[in-house]
Amino acid sequence: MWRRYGDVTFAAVFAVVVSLEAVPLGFLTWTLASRLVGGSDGARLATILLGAVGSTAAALVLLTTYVLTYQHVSTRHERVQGERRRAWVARWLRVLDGSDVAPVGTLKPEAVDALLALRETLRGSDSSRVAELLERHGAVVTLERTAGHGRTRRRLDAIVALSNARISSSFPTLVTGVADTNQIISVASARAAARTLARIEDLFDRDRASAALARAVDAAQLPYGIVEEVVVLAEDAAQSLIHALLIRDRPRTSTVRAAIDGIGRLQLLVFAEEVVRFLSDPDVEVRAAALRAVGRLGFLPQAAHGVVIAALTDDVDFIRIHAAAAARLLPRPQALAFLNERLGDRSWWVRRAAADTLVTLGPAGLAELGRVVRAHPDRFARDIAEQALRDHVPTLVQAVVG
Amino acid sequence: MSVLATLLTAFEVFAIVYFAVLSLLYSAFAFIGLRTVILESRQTSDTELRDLLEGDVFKPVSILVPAFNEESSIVASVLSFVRLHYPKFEVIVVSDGSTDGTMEQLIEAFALVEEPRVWARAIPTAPVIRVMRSLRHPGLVVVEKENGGKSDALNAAINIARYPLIAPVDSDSLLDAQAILRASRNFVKDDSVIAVGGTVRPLNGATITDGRPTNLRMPRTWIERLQVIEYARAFFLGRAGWTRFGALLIVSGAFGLFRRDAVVRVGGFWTGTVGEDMELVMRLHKEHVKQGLPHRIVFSPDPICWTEVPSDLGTLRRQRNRWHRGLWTNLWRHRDMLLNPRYGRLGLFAVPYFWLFEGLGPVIEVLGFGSLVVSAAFGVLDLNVFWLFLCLAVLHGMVLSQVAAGVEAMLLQRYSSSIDRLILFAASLAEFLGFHQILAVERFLASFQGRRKRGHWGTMRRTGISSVESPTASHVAVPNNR
Repeated sequence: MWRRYGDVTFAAVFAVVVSLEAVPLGFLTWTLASRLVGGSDGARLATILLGAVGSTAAALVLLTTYVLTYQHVSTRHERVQGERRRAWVARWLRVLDGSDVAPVGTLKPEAVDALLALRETLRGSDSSRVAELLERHGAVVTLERTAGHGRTRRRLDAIVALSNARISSSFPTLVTGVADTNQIISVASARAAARTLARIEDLFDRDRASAALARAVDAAQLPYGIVEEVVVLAEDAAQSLIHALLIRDRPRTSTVRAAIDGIGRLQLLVFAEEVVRFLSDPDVEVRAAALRAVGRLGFLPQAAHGVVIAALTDDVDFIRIHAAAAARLLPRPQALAFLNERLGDRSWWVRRAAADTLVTLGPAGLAELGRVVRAHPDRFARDIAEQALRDHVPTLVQAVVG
Repeated sequence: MSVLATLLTAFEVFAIVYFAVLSLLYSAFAFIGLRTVILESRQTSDTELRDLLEGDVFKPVSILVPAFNEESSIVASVLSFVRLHYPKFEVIVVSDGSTDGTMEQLIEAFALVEEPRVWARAIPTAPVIRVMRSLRHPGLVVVEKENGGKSDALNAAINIARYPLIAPVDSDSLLDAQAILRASRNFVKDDSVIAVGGTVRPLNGATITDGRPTNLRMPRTWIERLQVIEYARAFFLGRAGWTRFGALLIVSGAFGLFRRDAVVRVGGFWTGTVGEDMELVMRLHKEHVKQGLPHRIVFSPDPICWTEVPSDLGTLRRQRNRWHRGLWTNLWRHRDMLLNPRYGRLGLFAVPYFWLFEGLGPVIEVLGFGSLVVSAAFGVLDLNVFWLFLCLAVLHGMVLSQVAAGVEAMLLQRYSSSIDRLILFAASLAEFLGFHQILAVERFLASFQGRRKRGHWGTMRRTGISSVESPTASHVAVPNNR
């Protein structure tokens, strides 16, 4: 989306420009104020104005020169960089297939970029060899050093590069970054750490790394959405990470919600019992997340039926919505009866969720919807049932509605 | 005579100090905005975005497209919307009593069929005539309703919307493929975000391929070219700066992303203004503060929306007149926020800024220049001072425009040819040699027309994004008004 070079120089040029504007404007304001109380004459005002015009014109020339030069130089720079990068990709591919030798010494930035691109594209042993090349040539150490301290934009560049490299030795650096007081760095580090965690294959190392990341994420008080992203980005390591997040002593509510949503999203059935435990959580958001996860997992032990049935009449609308979705896991007659009842709920969204859930119950659910369309005393229930049929099985509507 | 001279001098001093403060504020916001762009551009890599897209962690979005007599651009716009890169979304087009061929174009291009539909009537609107869905694009819904204005059409779309995020967009606009994806990231990053504004860039002169501007060229008329600079300045510098300050008051009506529940909670768009976008944002701030709910409204430079800008001076003047009337209506409606510490930075800084510099700006500008002319004519002011001040004001405007042009140059999709670049440069210089002043006079007039022209939109002449023959047509040129 953006060119990531030349922007800081531009900001520096702009700082000079602002100074060239601000100082004469300050003088001008002072002179005018003096003039109002009779302390300054017209000639002095004209001189100051002339100075302000001169310095602003100089600022404009400076800025314009920079912008036009940047346009010209960046076009050429990108063409040359593109060619160099393509050449490096070709060379690295030759190195990988053994028809060329790896370069010696520190790598140029475009060589590192080419390796990072290959690391993202290749899979299996080739990808591992790319990782080895990145480490062997010191690129990883350099990136880790840059990611650890310095200016925010340079750190971000390094963290994004490490996120693409996904090399396990960088994991501690990234986890340290999660604790950074600068939230931009903290969030970027958490995502990069999750992507790196996904590539740690040794199960023992993975569990240890998951525990470290879980500690860091919870301590950094990252928002719910970011924790959920971290869980998803951890891919195969998500199970280990979720376990680490949930077994922590008093984890934050948003962390628990994100972990539970991750369970549902990634269909981690191994946590099904754990999710059921959260159906009775005192926090309404956690309960909602647990109901969502139950719905996605498709698992509801008999002992938890009562909780879902109670949730169908909860005071909070969104609890009833998620409960309606989860009600498909109740024994069929019970599900049909309770969902039928919810079709007359005071909230349109609950009615809609109940109707959609009835559709998922197959012929029995469709038949129930048909009965509702024809004979339910509540007009809103009839309408929503008909709408659900139209949306999901339009061919049946005519037969049911008549 | 001496009294007049004293009055004129006092007003000149006020006008010049006002100008100095405004210039410095603009520069400060431009600087902060630039920093925002620098940091935002590095926060999410493309690979991460792809992974997250595959991981399906994004909230589904309803794209709301109000349309009134948009037969020339509606098909191309809707095509760009239905082809967005996003895991789950729907597009709801509302024809707000269109009297041209808008509905016919939509029916033909997207194979629409009428279907009965029930929806939550969370916000009252003018009656809906029919709801249609597309046989070609399952996520496309078209609503035909009686005319009630843009806000009413948006409210109707909100009622029908099924997803937690809503994206009101203009029907003469196109969205960048990743626009929704990048905007919705802000809701993930911070639970308290209730609205996100994106960048709007002029579309005129570009070539459209598959609903996306591909070959970006400068438009042919100077009216359009000058707006390229105006938009860059407003979005890359102004709004980015306000976001850093935590006091953003406008999310452009051309493209924004809102939490549906937050909008419904405050009653949707207000139909009593022609500046419904700003009004909603002010009301969202206000109601959330009143209820003690944590909230943030942010601008993100990454999500880009392309819009067709007026190509003739008459339409442009009417548009700016409307915007300025809308601004005054909104400021007056929410006058209790002015200097009210309850609203924090918003009440103590942003709202006063909008009163003093955005609302009254054109009045002070026009009267200030008028008084300079009168002073010079009566010999109260030295002519040299007059000309020097005029030069200074113009140069300051040019500097800001050049900063905006510089930020635009950092975009990967920029005006790339040398000729276009030179034209952009010339436009940034030319903007303050007449164009800005004409619009200042229009806004000056609008400041006194709020009551007389209440709710009046004025005729907007459009050349149209394209005249595509079918949704599968690929290469389309955006016509210029020559």
